[in-house]
Amino acid sequence: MHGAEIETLIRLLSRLPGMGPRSARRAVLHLLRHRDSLMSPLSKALEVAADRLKTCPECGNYDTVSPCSICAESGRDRSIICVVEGVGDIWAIERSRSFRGLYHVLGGVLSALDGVAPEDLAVVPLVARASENGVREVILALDATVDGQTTSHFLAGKLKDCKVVVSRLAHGVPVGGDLDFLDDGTLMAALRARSALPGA
Amino acid sequence: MEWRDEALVLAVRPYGDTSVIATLLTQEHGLHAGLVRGGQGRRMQPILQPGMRVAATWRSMQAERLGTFALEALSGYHVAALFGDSVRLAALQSACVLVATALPEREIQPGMFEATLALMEALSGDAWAESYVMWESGLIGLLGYAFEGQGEMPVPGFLCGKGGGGTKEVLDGLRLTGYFLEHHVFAVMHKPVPAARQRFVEAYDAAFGQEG
Repeated sequence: MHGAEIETLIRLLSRLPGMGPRSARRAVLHLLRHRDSLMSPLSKALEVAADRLKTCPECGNYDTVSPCSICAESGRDRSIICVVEGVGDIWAIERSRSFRGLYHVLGGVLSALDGVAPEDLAVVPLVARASENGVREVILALDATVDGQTTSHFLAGKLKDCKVVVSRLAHGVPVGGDLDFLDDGTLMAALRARSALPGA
Repeated sequence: MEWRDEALVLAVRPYGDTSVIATLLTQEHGLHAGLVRGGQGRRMQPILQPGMRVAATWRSMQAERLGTFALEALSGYHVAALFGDSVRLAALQSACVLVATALPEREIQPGMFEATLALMEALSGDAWAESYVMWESGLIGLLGYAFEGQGEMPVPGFLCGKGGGGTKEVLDGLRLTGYFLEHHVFAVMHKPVPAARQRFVEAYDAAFGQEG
């Protein structure tokens, strides 16, 4: 039906998250129809990114410069390190524009059944960074799951001897959340973490 | 084929972009895995946590196939209550991984579901550590091993109805159950005892060992 090159393209695209063979075929067809405006620039962008991609030696973020743009940014608060599971979490927090400190990518969470052990995660570099002069807080921004919270407790133990405050993200009602639709666990966490209203 | 059963979530693994394969301990169908469509979604994530109690409906064209689960959370305790307590959370993980790895799949284990559910409920109570050791000794017995003292490791009093309990007896009990898990339960499977169990014992010892 079509040449080997196009078949290879479909096969490779179908390996991407959210893509199956059908959606990969549609994407390839779209690229072929927009060869000059989309396919060629995309091909060049992929080549450049693949060529220049680096893992930041300080935080584990992906970037084309080393250290990464966040670690190199002069306006960042270097006294706070936010620990995240993966690079996607950095992107999520950066989108919120609510954090101006540095990050540390753990590379996963402890998993009892999948056999992810502490030595599989970037724990030693985290403890080394937290021990550096000037670091005063480590925020554990891991998922509110059994594995995520187990990992948070494990890290808190490892950071015990560093002279830093260890905090974690609050658990509770999401913005725009309707109490009637919340699951029991979220409601329980929200009630436990309730706080006094300022001025009340 | 279709059945409905009450179950505890033990383990969840991503499958594709949106689904997961969940391993459950069911009341009447033993350890059972199945596909949960949309299991990676926001609605299902709170339900698919180890230790959560669910109503499960399993469907499949053929009995021997993986099949799919439809899950609903059942009210009662919630594992989120343990998020603030590292040792109890470690106990929960240890229990879930022990069941998921030690029990044979799709074999009815009378009493195992009830005992594990009772443990999950006990984890937020006072004598939770004693309950955990009793649960491990029950698991060992259920798998066919005569649970008794070994050499310099006697059966702690609270495990043979003589009262007692407390940190020292819990640690003694964990040593004894650990011996059975290592030398019998997992030895015959040629597998090491899951690391989560060791992490729990270390966490318990570090938190309460001085008291004993």
